[in-house]
Parts: sequence; C-alpha cells; structure tokens
Amino acid sequence: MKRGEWFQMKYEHKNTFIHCLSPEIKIAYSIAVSILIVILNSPRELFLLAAAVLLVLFLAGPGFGRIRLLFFAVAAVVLSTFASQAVFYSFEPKTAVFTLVPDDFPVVGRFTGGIYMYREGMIYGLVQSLRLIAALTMAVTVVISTHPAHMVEALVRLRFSRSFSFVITMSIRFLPFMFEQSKRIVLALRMRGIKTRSINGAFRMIRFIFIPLVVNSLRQAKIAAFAAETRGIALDKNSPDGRRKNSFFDFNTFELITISFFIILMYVSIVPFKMGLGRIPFFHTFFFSIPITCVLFIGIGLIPKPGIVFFMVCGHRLFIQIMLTGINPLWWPYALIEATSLELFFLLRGRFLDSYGAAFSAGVLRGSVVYLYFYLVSAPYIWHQFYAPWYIGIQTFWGAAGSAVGGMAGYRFGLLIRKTCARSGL
Amino acid sequence: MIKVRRLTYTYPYTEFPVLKDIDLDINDGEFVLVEGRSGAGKSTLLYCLNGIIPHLYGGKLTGEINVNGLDPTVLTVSRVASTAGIVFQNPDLQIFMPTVREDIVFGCKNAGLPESTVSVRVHEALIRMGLVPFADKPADELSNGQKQRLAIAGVYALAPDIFLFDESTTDLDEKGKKEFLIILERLKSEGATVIISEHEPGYLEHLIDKKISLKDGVIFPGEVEILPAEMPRHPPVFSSGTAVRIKNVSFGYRRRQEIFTGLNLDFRKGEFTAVVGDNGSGKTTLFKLILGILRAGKGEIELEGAVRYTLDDICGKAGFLFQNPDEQLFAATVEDEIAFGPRQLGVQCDTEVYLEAYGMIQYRGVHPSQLSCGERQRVAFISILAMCPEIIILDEPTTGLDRANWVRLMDTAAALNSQGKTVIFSSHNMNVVEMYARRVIRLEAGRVVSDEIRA
Repeated sequence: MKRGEWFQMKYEHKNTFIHCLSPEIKIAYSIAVSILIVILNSPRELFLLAAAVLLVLFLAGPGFGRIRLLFFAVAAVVLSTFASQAVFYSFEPKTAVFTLVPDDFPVVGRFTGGIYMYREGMIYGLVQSLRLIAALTMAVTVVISTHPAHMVEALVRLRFSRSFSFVITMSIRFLPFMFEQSKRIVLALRMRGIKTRSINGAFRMIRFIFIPLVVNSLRQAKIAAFAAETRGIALDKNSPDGRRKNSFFDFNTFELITISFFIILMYVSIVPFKMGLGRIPFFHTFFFSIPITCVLFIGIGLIPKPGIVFFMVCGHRLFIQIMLTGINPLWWPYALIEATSLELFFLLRGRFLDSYGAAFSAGVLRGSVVYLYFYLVSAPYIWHQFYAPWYIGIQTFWGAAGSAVGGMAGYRFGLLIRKTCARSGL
Repeated sequence: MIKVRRLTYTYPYTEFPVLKDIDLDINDGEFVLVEGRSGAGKSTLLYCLNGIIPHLYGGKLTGEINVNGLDPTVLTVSRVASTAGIVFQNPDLQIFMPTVREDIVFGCKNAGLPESTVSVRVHEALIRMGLVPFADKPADELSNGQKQRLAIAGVYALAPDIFLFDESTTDLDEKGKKEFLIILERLKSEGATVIISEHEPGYLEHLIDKKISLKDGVIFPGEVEILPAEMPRHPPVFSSGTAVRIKNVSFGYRRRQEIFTGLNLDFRKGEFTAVVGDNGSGKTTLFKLILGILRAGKGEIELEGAVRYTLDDICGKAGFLFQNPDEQLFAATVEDEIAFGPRQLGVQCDTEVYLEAYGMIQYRGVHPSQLSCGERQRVAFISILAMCPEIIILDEPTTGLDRANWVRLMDTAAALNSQGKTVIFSSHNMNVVEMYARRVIRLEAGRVVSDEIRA
C-alpha cells in the first residue's frame, strides 16, 4: 500500500442498490455482522459469513482502486494472522507440522526450544483471518456507500445527542480543511530550515507544529461557530421567544466546533505513528499513546467542562468508524470506559488539569484503563485473541508511560496555547 | 431600519473600546459600505448588528441597537439571523453539509420552517445565486467563488431583510469577484439592505448609497485616507543571468489530468514578476514546482544553477511566503521568530539589523500573536528575509491586508528587488500587480496566455 492510500477508503458517489439503502439499515447490517464475527467459531461458518459480506461489497460497485486496496489489506491481514498464529499458537494440544528453527540450533533454538508451525495454530489463524476479512469488508462496504453526513443524520434519528452529532458532522466537514492547514504549516517549517527526514527533525517539527495548528484551528472554529449560529443552529437551550437563557452543563457552538477540530487533530496526530514508530514491536503502545493523549489533554485544558472527555474520546472513535472503519459497536465500550474513567477522575478531584502531577496521574489512569481493558476483556472475549500475561504487563506499562508523557506534554502545550490565545484575543 | 445609539464595545481581556459612541441610522434598502483600516472596528460593528457581539464574543457593550425592531443584544444570534444574515470571508468555514442543496436546507431546517416553505426557499436561493447546475453536487467540488455564492444562498434562504458581508471577497479571484458583484446588484435591485465591509471597495462604487468611515473606533466624517499619497515606483533592475529556468515541464496531481504540459518559462535574476490568473490556473502549483515541493513528471527545473533539488536543498536560497501569517509563525517573540530560520540552518543572524531596518524594533520582545494581521504578515516576511534568500516567492501575500499594510509589505519586496533579489508573486489584487510588477505572466488552466514586460 502506498503512503496515503489508506485515506482513499472513503465515500464513492454512486447509485447502486447498496448506496440507496438507508444509513439505518447499514448500521443494522454493521451491528449484525459484528455480532456474527464474535459468536461464530467454525471455519465453515466464518467462511460463509466472509463470502456473504464480500458479495454485499460487490453489490456496492467499488472502483478498481478500492478493490486493489482491499485486496492488499486482506492479503496482509491473512498472511500476518495466519503466520503469527501458526508459529505462536499457545494452546494444547498442538501438532508441529513444520520446523522453522530446530531446538538444537545455536542460541535461538536453544533459548526458545525450537520454533515450529503448528497445525492447530494454522486453523486458528485461518479462523481469525476470516473474522478480520469479514470485519474489513463490511467496513469498506458501509464507508464507500454512505456519505458521512448522512450517517450522522441517521445517528440523530436514532436519538444520538444533537450536540454530539453536530461535533461529528463538523469533524467530517473540516477534515480536508485541517489536512491542508497542517500541510501548509509543515511546509512553512521546512522553508525555515526544519528537516523532516531525520528523527531529530521530526521531533522538532512536532514541537513547533502544535501551537500554530491549534491556535489557527481555534480562530477558524470561532468563525465557523459564528456562521453556524447565523444559519440558525441553536444547540444551547433557548426559550421559544428566542431570548437567551444561561444553560448549565452544556457546550456552546464555539466549544462544540473546537471539540470537532480536536477530534480531527487526534486523528491526524496518530497518522505518522501508524506509519512508523507505532509499529515498533513491544514499544508501539508507548509511541501510540503519546500524541493522542497529548491532543486530548490540550483539549481538556482549553475546555475544562464536564463531558469534554466523553465528547472528545467517543467523538474520535465514532468519527474514525464513520470515515474509515465502519460502524462497529464492539469498539464502543473501549471508548466509553476510557472516557468514563477520566471524567470520574476529574469529577472526584473537583478540578481539571491544573498541574503536571494531575496530567501525569490522569495519563497513567488513561493508559492503564485502555490497555488493561483491551488485553483482558476486548481481545479475549470479543476478538478471540489471547496474550501472555507478561506481554499484557509490558504493553500496559508502556501504554501508561506513553499516556503520562503525552498527558504532561498536552498540559504544557495547553498552557502555551492558552497564553497565545489570550494574547491574540481568542 | 437600523438604529444604533451611543454604541461602545470593548473586547474581553482588553482595556480600550474598539467602538466608541457610535450613532448610526440605516434605512431599508440602503447599500452601505463600511470602510476603514484594519483594526478600525468594521467587523466589530457588523458583529454588533446581528448579536455575534456580545453573545459569542462576550466583552462589554453599552448603548442601544435596534435592527428592524429587534434588539440583538438580548435575542440569540439564531433569532436575529432571520432578520440580519452575515457572510464571512472564508467560504469553507460557512458550509456545513455535503451537497449544495443540503447546505441551503441546513439553515431552513434549523429555523424550523415547514417542508413546503423550505423547498420553495431553497429553490429560490439556488436560482438567485446561480447554483441550479450544482444543486446536487458535493460542496467541496465547487470553486471558491461558487462556495461563497453557496454561503450567501444559505443566508438568502432564511429570507433576512438585511445582508451583512464581512470582507467576503478577500478569498475570491477576479472571476469570483465578478460573480459576487452580480449577486450584490441583484440583492440591491430586490430592495434588500446591504452592509458590506471591504478593503478594496472600488468595484462597488455604483452601488453605494452610504459610506460609514471608521477610524480608531469612531465614525470619521468624510473618507478615511487609506491610499498612500503617492504610488511608489521603483527603478527597474537590469537582469543578469537566470534565477529559475523551467524547461518543458509537465505536471498533474492525477494521472491523465495534467495542469502543465510542456511548460517553458524563465525568470531572470533581479526580476519583479507577478503571476496572475484565476483560482485553479496553476499559480501555487508553479511555485511549488519551483521550490521542489512538487516534482515535475517530465522536464526540468533549474534554480540558481541547481537541478533535481528538493525543498531541503534550496532552503535559504529561496524564500516562500504565503497568505496566512499564522501558519508561518512559531516562536515566542518577534526576535526569536526572525532568528528561527537562520538558527535551523546554523547561520549567524543579527536580528537587530532586521528589526531596525523593517521598523519592528519596538516589537522585539512581543509575542507575534499580539500583533495585528498586517504586522504578523510582515514578521513572517522578515523571518524569511533573515535567511538571505536570493529568490523570494510570495503566494497571495496581500490577501486580507488593507491597502496601507499591503503597500508596506510590497514596498519591502520592491526594496529587496532593487538590491538585485528576484521577486515572484501572485495576487488577485490587480492594484498590487499594477503598482509593483515589472513583468506580468497570466496563467489560464496551466497555460501561459500572456507574458508582458512593463516599463
């Protein structure tokens, strides 16, 4: 897959039978496939499910580029899952059918007791691959056949909060705009001598990019909020005569649009890590947690109100599902638990982020909750993937450490951004 | 009818009022121009008329405002919007839905209008704004001019009596401005009250019934002097050698959709060249190719003798300034900002010299975000000059600046040009081109349609 191609898995304007189905039906389809992925266990049933989901995809008439992209994604998933499960299968009984490294091989063989491919592991890998193929194909079908805005409208009809839906709509609307802005800032930095090709340069780039990006986003959010209000949107509670009431426990339009910009920033911030550092074995949870926690904590620092974590974390999850991965409620508890734990943390403290200590503690809490939930609940009971306790311990430690580092960085950037905003009258 | 009495407004966290004791009467159907330099209070006045101030900005507002019988200081912005609608500068930030039709419907639905009324209003807005052929097109595929028409259509569908335009043509090219003018003429002929703030209002002269000239927050009797007393003319510089040579270059962002096909162009050393053309004609793409940000599919580009270079290779030889200064400022003080580039290149830089030479010495310890837009653009420009580039490329550098500010900026460029630096710039503002360019290249869909040297 070429760099940037992942972004091409987006809505295709067509008039097929699948395109004409209402988004509600597609949400029901996503939920049904997700549940079947979890409850089906035999290779034959999963094969039939994957075949049926593929058929639905072809009814949506994907373009050649999408098919090619899906083919490469599926091939990568099948090969990696099949190979890793065949080699690292840990359940008994298991039958070795192929020897990769004999047990008498110097160092590696003696240390590991030999590396083999197991028949049961291959079958398990096949089952897992079919699960992932079904999930991936379902996601592509929904994403290419449903305009994100129509999906959001459907969520409103399904009684999602209007404010929350507005945040998602704005995130979708402003995504290309924010991408362009980020590109221009990177270009400006390169024109001023920052080299992007070295690791040192990349870290310096991150240091300098945040403040102009966020401050600019806030400027744009303000204008967009004005425009939304003058187009009659009134997300706060107004009396019928149009007189303004002070609403409690609520976000105004500017805050909601700011949150939507932060959701995009959370999404954009992890893209470089998806491509590079986030793939380093054993350390990926550390590198992956830094940027996302950093942006999350900047947002919390700028809008310290109850509900901010919920809007940002759940909004980010739903935004990614609508844009890229398809609606999949199996991932929702993950976001809800992360948001609830942080909301409770701030509620019990009675204050939001007001010190490096608070940022550190909140970061550790976030990282621990997220990764323990994933490895102890989500992976084994939803995705049928099992990990050794030592691996769970390492990943959770690095995840908590990364979140703490990201949290403190977010607190620091938040302070600088607030200062800059105050200076520029934002 | 708009009646404003003793309006004084102070932004939050500031000491001094932006508007002071404003008294104003605007009759129904009048076309009113609000003029003045940046920071004079033009946008603030418009925001006061539809409730954005004080509801969304906060701050301290005193005095009375009556807009067709409504008090925008008490009612919500949403409520006042059906009487006084506003269109802003950047159309991208005013479009909320995926297709043209849906975006026009958005405001009507928010206003709680019945379906039958919505369809009539939307149909009318599409016709009036010339958007019928694009009705079901994705809004993202429209040109900037069409997007701005869509933003107006969104407001028009709410049927307000008063239209407020806050520098709405800033991001538009010549074609977009012409389309915008037609819309304004139509609104005036329909009897709507139009209040518009503009930096370059020359094209509106035939429509204006009343002018409100603001200076330092008060209504100034007569016209505010915003033109420089004399048009600066700089001596032409004799060229020696080639700064940039573009040989037979072809480039397209997508396969089989080339923007440039076999483009040949030379920029001689010491030239002051304007590249003009509508949005999408290839101006920015040309600059990116010259700077090595994009790589030509075919052909060759030579910059100061270097071929097959990347942006990193020519950093310091060529400087690039673009429209929004806020995307180009990174340091905590003006002085640090100027030193930022040379420091990255490992070059010594006497910031004092630059601060003195460009009249910024009093701002040396100030955070760039505390400066006005024009000053921020100057800081961004000086920061590039501090890297001593031989070629200076300015992409729409005057957008959003008032005349006094763009004259200062372009004077700096002209002074550098007279020292032998090559300056290439693009602008939709033909006054800038007329005043400064010694050579004007016009692009249309990636083709050079004219290339003239001026005396």
